[in-house]
Amino acid sequence: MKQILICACLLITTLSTKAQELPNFRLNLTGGYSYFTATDPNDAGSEMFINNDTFKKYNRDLQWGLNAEGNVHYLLKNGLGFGAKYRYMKTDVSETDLLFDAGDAHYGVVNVSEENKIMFIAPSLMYALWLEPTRKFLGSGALSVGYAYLESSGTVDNESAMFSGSNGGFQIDLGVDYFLTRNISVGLSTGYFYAKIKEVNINLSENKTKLPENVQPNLSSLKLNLSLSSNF
Amino acid sequence: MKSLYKFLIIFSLLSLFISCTDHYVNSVNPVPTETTYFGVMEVRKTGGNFATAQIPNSGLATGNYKIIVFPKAMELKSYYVKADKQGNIEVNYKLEKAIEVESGYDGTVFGVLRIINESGSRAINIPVGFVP
Repeated sequence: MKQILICACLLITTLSTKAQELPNFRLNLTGGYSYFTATDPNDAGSEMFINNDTFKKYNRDLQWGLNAEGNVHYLLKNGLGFGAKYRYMKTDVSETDLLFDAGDAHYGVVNVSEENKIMFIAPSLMYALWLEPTRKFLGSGALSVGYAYLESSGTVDNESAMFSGSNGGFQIDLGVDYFLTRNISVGLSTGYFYAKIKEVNINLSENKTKLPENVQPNLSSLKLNLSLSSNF
Repeated sequence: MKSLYKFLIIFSLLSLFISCTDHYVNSVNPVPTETTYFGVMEVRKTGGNFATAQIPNSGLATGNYKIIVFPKAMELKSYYVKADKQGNIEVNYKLEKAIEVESGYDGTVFGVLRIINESGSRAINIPVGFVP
């Protein structure tokens, strides 16, 4: 009888462990805010704008944007996962009158607006592990290296223009998920994204223009997202 | 009393070239028709408060306009102004420090206010004069 009970306990324990193994397949959707670390227009070669409250607000608005992301991974039993990522980021500033030094003890006023859309698609390598014995909290990290695309449009007073460009980029992610049920988890994710655009097409032209280094758009950004995952 | 002014600053052309336009194509805009106001917008020292300066009979049609150049010595409450039926315009400004006036003169012109219409087709340059 004792042996039967011991065997039963061992079997139950084994079954329990199997029920809380890492999922094989994970579909993850996240959304939240991005913070762009290099958007100060005055960094582009000259202290063009007067650093007043309006400029600070313009710069602040450009630095923050929304982002949405989708990830799909196949996970091995050892926690290593292979998959893909797609991410969309947007930042924009509505029309803003900025002051600049017009010379001869005068200020000029220029009306500026800007909208930037960034897309990133990449294969992704992921690692996941349970953070505690109850296996309710799953920690994950990922590295994605792929293709970044920027489309930027803006106006300066009555002049408007747009440019687009692409380059390689990478993203590093860290996340924590809480399993509400066996298959559904919610969590937080943070990460760092980097890409720099060196050549652009201006106003839908077919010819590429190589940008001087000091004006190449630097898309470095941090993110903080809420996430929802489906795990199978 | 009619005031006498000594001109210290003459007009400068405005050229729009900012760092962001390294990214953009400068499309060709029509050059605005420019006129000069035959008068002076008189301003006084206001300290830390905003005051209103008048530009009577500017010759501009009724409508909305934008100030695109102004003297650094002044702070403007708004870059957007309106012209009434008579072409009168009011500008809210702050002038914290007095401008030096040479002896024998009632005031001094120390800068230019450049106002442009919404379409960018017409601009007027208005001398700004300090009166103690």
